[in-house]
Amino acid sequence: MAEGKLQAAVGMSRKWDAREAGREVVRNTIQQLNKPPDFFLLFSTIHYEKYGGFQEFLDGVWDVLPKGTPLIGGTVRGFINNQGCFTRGTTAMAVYGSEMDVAIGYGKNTKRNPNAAAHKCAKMIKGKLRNSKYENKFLLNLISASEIPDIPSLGRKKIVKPGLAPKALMKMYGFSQYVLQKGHGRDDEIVEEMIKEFPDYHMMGGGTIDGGPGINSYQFFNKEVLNNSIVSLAMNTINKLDVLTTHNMKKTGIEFKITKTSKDGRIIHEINGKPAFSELLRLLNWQKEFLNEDTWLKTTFYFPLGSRYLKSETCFGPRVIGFVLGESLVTGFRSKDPNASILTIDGRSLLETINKNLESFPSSPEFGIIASCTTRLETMGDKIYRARDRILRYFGENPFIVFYVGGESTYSPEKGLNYINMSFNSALFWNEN
Amino acid sequence: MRYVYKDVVDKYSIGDGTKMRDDPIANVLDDLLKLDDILACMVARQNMISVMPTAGTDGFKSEIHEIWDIIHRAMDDVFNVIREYSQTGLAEMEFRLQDYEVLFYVFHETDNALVSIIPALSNKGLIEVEMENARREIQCIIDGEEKQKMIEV
Repeated sequence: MAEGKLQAAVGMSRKWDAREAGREVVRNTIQQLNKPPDFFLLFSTIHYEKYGGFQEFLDGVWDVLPKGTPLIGGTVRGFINNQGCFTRGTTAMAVYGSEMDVAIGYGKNTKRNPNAAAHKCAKMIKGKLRNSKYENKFLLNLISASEIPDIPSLGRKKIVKPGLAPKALMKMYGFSQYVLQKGHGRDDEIVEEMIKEFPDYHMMGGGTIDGGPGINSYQFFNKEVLNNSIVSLAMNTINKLDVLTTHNMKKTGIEFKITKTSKDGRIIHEINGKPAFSELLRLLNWQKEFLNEDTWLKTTFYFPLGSRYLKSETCFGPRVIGFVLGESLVTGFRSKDPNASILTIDGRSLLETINKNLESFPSSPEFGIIASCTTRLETMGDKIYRARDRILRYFGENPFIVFYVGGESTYSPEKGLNYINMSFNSALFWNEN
Repeated sequence: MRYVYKDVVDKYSIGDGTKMRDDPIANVLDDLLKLDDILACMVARQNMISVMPTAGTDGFKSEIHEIWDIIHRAMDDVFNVIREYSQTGLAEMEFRLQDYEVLFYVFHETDNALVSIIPALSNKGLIEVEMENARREIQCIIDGEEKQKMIEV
């Protein structure tokens, strides 16, 4: 726990019962503070869906959490905190600051209308912070991440094999995306809207996810359990803060041209003038049978595309293929750059990303919130404890949470937006002196 | 030290791997077995399953039952290697048999391991994290018992 004007604490629960876990995570967290928290961040793996449900989980939280404490959170694939690394359970961070203003907001239907969701969320926050006098500003955005599309008559699949006419398939995908809200997260679009609303803020974003299937995820806003929503927490404070994205991926030497995309640049229809999926397999020297629903995790995630975010000069990084529709590749973010490549990374570089990130901050943090791509967790497995060792060396006993999400970003007025996949994104806070 | 370790594990077993009352190691296994992709788990060494989850093999997911005998035999062969190399730092082993993978997390410098059977195409990275947590928890239980035993001696 950090002492003084700024106090932060991290707690957790490994109980299986949703209600009991909700109570315990709050108790373990706030008992370390000697003031009521100014906000409460709550992360959970998907398991409570089956062990009482998330409403019960939140009810348990509010059995203990002081009434009126601003709370946001969501489901994640796993987390690291001061106590260990976990892919089951719940963790939370409570923060008190004597000189800090806090506001939270939410917006629904992010996959159907991300702009409207962002505006609603921004309006809620702005209303509460109108009179805030603090200059250091931070915004955490937790957004429902991509989910496997639900294509009429074909069901929920990561790979829809060619067969249907491409236009018909895209139309059916549109139904899934806009009507059922099962499809890409559009979290990049939401973050851009939030930047327009809050250009002087530092931001960090992460996409809430489930335990692997990509079927459903939840967002928490005070006592409400939401789907397909953004929940945000804004903090204006006297304390110093900064954000940074690192990934450390390297080019493999396989380079190619993206020659046809959807209008927004998210869906790749053609590579090198040929149907995208077949051409990608040829470039990777993979047989078609090699890539299926079962092998998805162990194949595509290890060889992401390398692309620039839209037309950004500075933001280049890994771009995950979320799902395949016939010959079209639905990717993690939009890009307008025709030049692309295949990236890869080894275990050592995955770990070095952490040092590159944390060592670039000027001061030791009082506390930190870190959003990292779930592929980093899934790739490292139990070796994730080595990642924790590095983080612990930097934080010492000061509290931190790394939460594993799908689709992460940072923004600062100085560095601009970094929206990429497979990255390590930190938001660190330290005292002025 | 290894003798003491064996003693501690055996205290919680009655030879056929079933659980004695209030067995903290079995409680750790019970937690692990609740995960969807853990089809079976146990603490074992060659020719002996030391600790099972509370429900014994009845607690294993049903799909494992038809392949359990062959996996069990293959496990014993792997324990030959574990026995040979655990003193020199062997920490983990695994093998794939048909559609299943068997993970062995060896307890430090012993011939005992936490073993789990998972589907071959499961999200192994996530399971590994909880296997490591279970190994650490069991190691703590064992270390505590060893310490107590040495004080008594």
